[in-house]
Amino acid sequence: MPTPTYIPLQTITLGSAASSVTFASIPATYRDLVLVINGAMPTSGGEVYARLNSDSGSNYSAVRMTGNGSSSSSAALTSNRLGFFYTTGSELANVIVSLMDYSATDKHKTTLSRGSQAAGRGVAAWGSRWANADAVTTIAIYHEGGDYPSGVTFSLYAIEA
Amino acid sequence: MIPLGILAAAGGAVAVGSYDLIATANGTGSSGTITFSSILQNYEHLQIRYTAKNSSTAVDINVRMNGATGSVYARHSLLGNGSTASSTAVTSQTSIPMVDSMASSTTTGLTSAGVIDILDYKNTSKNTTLRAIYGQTGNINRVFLTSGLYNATTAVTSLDFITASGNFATVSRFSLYGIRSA
Repeated sequence: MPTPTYIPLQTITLGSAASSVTFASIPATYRDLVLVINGAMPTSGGEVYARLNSDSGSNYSAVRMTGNGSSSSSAALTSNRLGFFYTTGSELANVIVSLMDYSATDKHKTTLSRGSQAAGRGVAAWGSRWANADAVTTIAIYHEGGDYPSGVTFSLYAIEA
Repeated sequence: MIPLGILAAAGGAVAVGSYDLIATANGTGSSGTITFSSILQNYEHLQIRYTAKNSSTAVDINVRMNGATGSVYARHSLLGNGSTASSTAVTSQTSIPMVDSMASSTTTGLTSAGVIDILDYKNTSKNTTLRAIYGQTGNINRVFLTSGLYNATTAVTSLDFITASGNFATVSRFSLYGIRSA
């Protein structure tokens, strides 16, 4: 019997600039999460990224592929944060992230993200990994360039399996 | 604090049945094929969400529809491998080859992941196409955007995900979802 899913968990709309946004107490009753970020970005640009379960250790890696309208590129990264997208300038950007098997305890956590910023960085796809098998209960989202401006929305959805 | 999702799951905010879980299949460690058969025909699109790991060294997953083994498939890919971005295409294939779509590593817990959309799967006036994003980091670095073609107008009633060789490790998981039209 099919099971209705893709459950909206929470949407946060910034009423003022904020350096981070946190989804906490995420229940382990689903299998995947989908995070949607939409809005203006910090002027100085940089990476849209997250930390899972407050882990700020060097336990994250990523591979990204970017097209900016004139060239394409790819890079691999190892860092202390889970990268989703790279923005340039304050123009509106949108980022959609799938966090796979976030509640599983037998595998690392992989994210697949697609981001676009038509007036800035262009379009990109990222695959990122948190090298930890713990279930994810907290996602804190940051921007390398500083505060997210007022009005940016962060929506979190959950999918059963 | 009320856990996230409890209110939404119990309330009327969810459009019930607009996105349904149809089935989930897990790797057994002894089979190189994951199959969804007798797929319901009451949705508009399908989505497959997976995490996968191989028990040998091959890292490709091949997608086959309706068990068709003729040269009726094609694929375009855009690849980022950590140093360059490139594009490839193949035609007249016996399945849609999703290159490097499965992790092959001795690292415990490391898997690849992917999300595949199969559009208008039951429409008998269109050839069936899919699009996918998938990737992995660790043993190798890969992120792909892929489109695939099943050059037939037959409604899709079964899907096979077949490793190029070896088997799906038990940590592998494939879930099939149906998306309704408005």
